[in-house]
Amino acid sequence: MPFPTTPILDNFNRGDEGPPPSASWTDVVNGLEVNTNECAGDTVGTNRSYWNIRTFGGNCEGYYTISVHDVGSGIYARQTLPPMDDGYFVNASEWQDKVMIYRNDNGVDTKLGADINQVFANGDKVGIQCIGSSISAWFDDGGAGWGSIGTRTDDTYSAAGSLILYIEAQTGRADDFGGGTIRVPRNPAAYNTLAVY
Amino acid sequence: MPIGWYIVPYVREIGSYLPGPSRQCAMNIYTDTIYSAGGWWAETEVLGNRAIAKVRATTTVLTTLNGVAGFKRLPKDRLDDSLADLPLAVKQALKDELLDMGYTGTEIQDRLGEDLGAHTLRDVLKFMTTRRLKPRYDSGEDEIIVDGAIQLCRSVESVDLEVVE
Repeated sequence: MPFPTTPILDNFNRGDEGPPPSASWTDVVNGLEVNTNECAGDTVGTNRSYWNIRTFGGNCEGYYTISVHDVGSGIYARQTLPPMDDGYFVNASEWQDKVMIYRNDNGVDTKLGADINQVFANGDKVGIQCIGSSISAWFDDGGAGWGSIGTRTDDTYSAAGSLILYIEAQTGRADDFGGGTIRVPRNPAAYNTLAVY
Repeated sequence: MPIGWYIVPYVREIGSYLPGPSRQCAMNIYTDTIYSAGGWWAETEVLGNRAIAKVRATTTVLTTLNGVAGFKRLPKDRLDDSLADLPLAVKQALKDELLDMGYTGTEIQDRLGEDLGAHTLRDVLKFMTTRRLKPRYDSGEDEIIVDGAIQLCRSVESVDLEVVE
């Protein structure tokens, strides 16, 4: 599957606002805000807001641009909201130069598999793709374009959920948040087989 | 390249700057060591706050992993290896591990019978992946407790396919 296949939902190009960044967002933990046409964290801790227009999935994707690289950021998909707090997320641990894929259970994060080494720079893009039991982290450094940098297998959560963006602390910035439900194409080979009969 | 199957614990991640309390398969601590040797690893979480991990690495790295406190190298390397030639003490240690995970003696008996020697490594690992439990966080004790609803495990076949020799 190519990535992404869904549009940008918020480019944050407007006057400073929030938290939350607009009426299309709802704060989950502290919150995100618009600052100089970018998305910023409101506090020195974790800042998490979800896109409240609709849920996406089961097969879905989400992505954003790290416009200012700092401590860390990430994006959740198939995420139910507290008190359930279940889903998946890709964590861009910018201070460690690593990407990790997690399953979230009741707000407890369980890392799936190994850390993925990844150096970050301003302008890099990070994404999550959930197709069936395959949870993938995607990355675009502005050179060769988007590429999958790791996939984990987990089928605990398959239903539609929210996309949540988070930024650690107040210095990092995100931009061009996007995502949505993925339409997985039918298997052309199977279709042709049926056509024979 | 050699392979090995291990039962490893989940451990708390400290200082991760994540939004919530976090845990990881302890094999991840050795990811750089494994990768530097041209290896790979994958896991499935199972009952008892543990994971079954398959590792492809050099003999030197596997020997290192064998000696890590809390890591238990399984006595066979391939899923279809018979357990028939295992000493009684080794088979008993496997049964003790299943009990310590949280499976009952009745469950073990019903599924695997009296003698694990009648089975393959696949049979035992598939039993281990019968279930796992959903974790939760006890903020008062700052502890992740794995005692919630039953959840599905990733299949051992899936792990086996991901880590090719």
